[in-house]
Amino acid sequence: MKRTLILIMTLALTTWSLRAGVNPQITEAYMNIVGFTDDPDGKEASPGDFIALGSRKEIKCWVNVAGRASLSWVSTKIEVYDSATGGTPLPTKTASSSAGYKYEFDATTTPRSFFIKGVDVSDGLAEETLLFEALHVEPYPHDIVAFTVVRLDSIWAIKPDPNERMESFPPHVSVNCSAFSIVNPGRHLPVFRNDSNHDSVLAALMMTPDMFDTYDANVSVTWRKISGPDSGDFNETDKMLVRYENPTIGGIYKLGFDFGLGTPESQVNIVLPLAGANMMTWLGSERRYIEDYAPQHKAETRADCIEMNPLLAVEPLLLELEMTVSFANLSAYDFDYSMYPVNASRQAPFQRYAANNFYWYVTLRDVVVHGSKINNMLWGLFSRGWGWTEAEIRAGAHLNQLARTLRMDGVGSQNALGLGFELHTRSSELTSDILTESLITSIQDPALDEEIFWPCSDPADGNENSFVRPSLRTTQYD
Amino acid sequence: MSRFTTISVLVFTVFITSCLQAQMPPSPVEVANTVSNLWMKRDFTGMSFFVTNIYMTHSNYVPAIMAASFHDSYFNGDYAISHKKLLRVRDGATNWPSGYAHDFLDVLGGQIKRSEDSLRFFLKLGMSEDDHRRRANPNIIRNYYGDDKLPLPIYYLFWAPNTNVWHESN
Repeated sequence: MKRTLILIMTLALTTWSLRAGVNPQITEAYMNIVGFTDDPDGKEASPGDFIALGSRKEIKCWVNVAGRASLSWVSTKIEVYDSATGGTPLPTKTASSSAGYKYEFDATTTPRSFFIKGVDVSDGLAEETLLFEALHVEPYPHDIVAFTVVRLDSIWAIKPDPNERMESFPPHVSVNCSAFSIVNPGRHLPVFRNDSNHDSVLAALMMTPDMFDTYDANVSVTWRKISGPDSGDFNETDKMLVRYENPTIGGIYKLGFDFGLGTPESQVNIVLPLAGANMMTWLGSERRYIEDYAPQHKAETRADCIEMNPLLAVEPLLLELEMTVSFANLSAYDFDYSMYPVNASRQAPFQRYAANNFYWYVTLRDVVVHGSKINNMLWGLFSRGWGWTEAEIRAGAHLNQLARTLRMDGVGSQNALGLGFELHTRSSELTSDILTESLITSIQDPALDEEIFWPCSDPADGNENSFVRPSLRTTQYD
Repeated sequence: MSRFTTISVLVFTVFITSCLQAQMPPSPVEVANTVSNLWMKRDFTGMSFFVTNIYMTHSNYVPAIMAASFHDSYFNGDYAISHKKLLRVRDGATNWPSGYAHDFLDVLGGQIKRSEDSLRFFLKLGMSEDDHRRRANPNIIRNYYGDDKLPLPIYYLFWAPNTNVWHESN
């Protein structure tokens, strides 16, 4: 009986031992990239995920039976941290071997986080791999993830043919662009009004161009308009290569690009350079001022001429001569308005392309004209108010231009004088009724650059705009 | 007989040519050039002779009237008479506007207006027409102008039309 009992116990123990040896509990190791869907095809291992150079991605490692485990990698283009920011890489360099890096730790069934930082750009897709192994049981259950370290190299804004222009923008920073610097307004792609089309191609370029398509297919990049006129739109917003199409309102368009890897947004500036603010309202009131000022200035000139030379009080012809010469000299050289019409959004005038900046390009109605032509217009009005006839004023303008440049006065200038005459003749009518769009267009000058600027519909507003009237003396001898 | 006929034809030709020449006034540019040259040379006697002569022989000829108007004011101080001559041209133009260039009419209008303003102004200062006539001295004015300027009425002579104002009576 005793022998039978011992036999039964021995059999039971053997059976249990055999069962334990043949059918042990299966240990598994898991490693997941946080935020990355590991589908059944094993995408985590290939093509893996992307890390922006300098930023970190979280991975989680755990086993279903607690015990020793290791995280191994060979790549020198990544570093492993146990914190999202700061800290020192794991393991320290002294613990590394030429074969790579291995970091051992006690794995638990609770996932442990590591943070993979890209420190150099990968040479190819999914080249930076990490191996997680459970060491406490053979044959070492494991999981693998792969990364590609990428860097957004630059963003290009391109104005396609036939007026090809391009500008590059640094990644992950906002780029200032100011309308108020003729020398250095900041990086921008200009889109001129006379360009044959106004679309811009925007291309986000990576350091390794051959990854472009894979990256585009696997990472959610985003374009958006940060600020700018309510005009135009992207053809797509989730591609590395997009177009900003058909803007029709001048101004500074700030466009943002999110690389999709948690890096700071990049910025592109497209500028549809605005002429100075709309001056129609100003012109309407200035016209009335000039109408009063011209006869007043004439009377003061006459009085001052006589005061200067009493002989003129008894010699009408000499007085007439003196006044004529005074008018011709003083108004030809000193009748210079200073007009700097800035709009409320501070985007007009965009100075960079206004080479001749004594006068800015400005807007009248929806037409861009050079400020000198408005000056001419007001001089025409002023001269008529003085009593000079249209032919005399036109001849005077030609003589003045001949004296300055050895050329006759241009068509645009003469047309501007004509508008001044119209304002004088049709004194009871509103300025805005007289100055039609076609008349204003007639004072554009082929020798100038009105056609590249976009009209500004806003009036001048704010502290920065300024209008300074000409300071006319009454005699040449003041 | 034949010789007599030849001489007669020659005499007749000379006569006709003289008559035609007597009827053909100098062109506006010739008038303007002559007046401006005489002014620049300070040949006031020559100027008076030329202007008086051309105005007497072609008293309806616009350049002659304009030159005479200039002479009236700049040499004689007769502003009112000078002004009337300008008005005469303007009235002629009003009746026959197509004979006058727009620019000429424009500057003529300016001259008339300035002349009226000037008369009014000096009347306010208490100067009569006689005062002006007494003071008239082209030499003073010429000196004041110097050698680099011409009076506007001389400039405008260059713009004058080659026509008569006889239409004024129509």
